[in-house]
Amino acid sequence: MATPTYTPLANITLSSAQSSVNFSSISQAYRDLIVVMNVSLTSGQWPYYRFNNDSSTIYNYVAAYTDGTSRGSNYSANDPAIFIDLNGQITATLETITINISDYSATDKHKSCLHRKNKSDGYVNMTGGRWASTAAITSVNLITTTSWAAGSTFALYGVVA
Amino acid sequence: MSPVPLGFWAVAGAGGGATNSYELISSVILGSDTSTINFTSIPSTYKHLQIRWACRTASGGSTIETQFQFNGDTGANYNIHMLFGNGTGAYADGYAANSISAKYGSVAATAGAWGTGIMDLLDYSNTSKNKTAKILSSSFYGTGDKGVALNGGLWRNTAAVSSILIWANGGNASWNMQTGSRFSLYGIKG
Repeated sequence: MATPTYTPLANITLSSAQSSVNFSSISQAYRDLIVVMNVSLTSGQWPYYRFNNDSSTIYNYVAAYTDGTSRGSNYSANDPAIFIDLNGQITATLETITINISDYSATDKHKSCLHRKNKSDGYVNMTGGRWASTAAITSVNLITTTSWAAGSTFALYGVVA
Repeated sequence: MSPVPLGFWAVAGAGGGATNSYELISSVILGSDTSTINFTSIPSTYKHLQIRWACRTASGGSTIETQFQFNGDTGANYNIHMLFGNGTGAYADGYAANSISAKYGSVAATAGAWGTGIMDLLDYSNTSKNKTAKILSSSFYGTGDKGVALNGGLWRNTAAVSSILIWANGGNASWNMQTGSRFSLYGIKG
């Protein structure tokens, strides 16, 4: 018999602006995590995310992007976080972002993630990331140097395998 | 964890309940290096399928593709189009093939590193439609070859998909998928 999965773990809607949103004490009972965001910022910036509040320079990521006119790809190695979109700022315009984190609880793997970002008046972006740590992910930290705007929503799902 | 206003996740009132619409059908975690994984006897009771994976090959150079073949069809009955970036530029490609591929679905053995991907196979059991897939994948081979790719795939066959064969190749050769590689198949109701 098929097993039900894809479980909502947390759902946050900001009632006021704040600089970071953290999903913490994440259950280790799943295989993958998915973060779904519908967000804007109080002023344009380049938000990023970390795992387990780890700010050591062990994040790598590669991205491809287009705004319908220009296209390109960038790569960053040995960074202290994974930037959601190095090429296009998140601004006061709402955009959707989905982050898939594979095998987040496996202690024999570095952590791989895939995220997509969609902005109606800016860039669409796809990014593959790697956190070079075998530690199980217990928290996901979504950080900006300004603030996530009030009304921004963040949801965390666990996927069983 | 921050408080959870359940909102639209709340279970319906008395006598009702949310329907589980995303179900795990099968999951494989390799206990030894293996050349192929085959999901067979896939039930036709869902609307769509999704495969989520992390994969590494024992050898094979750098960029390793993950390949998908349906119902044992080895003919040149598939088409692929892709947009991908490798940190240097964004590129496109398209061709006919004998399988659907994820361009960065795997990676040759690099300590701790794994290729990852998600494939959505839409209307897989609909016998009036050729089958279409969307695949997002990414991998890193040390600080060298790396990339992220969005692939669109087409299987020019209206048969319901009942099996999916998976393997990894790169450099015109197939490579064993390494211990710890994981492929999970999900059914989505609609």
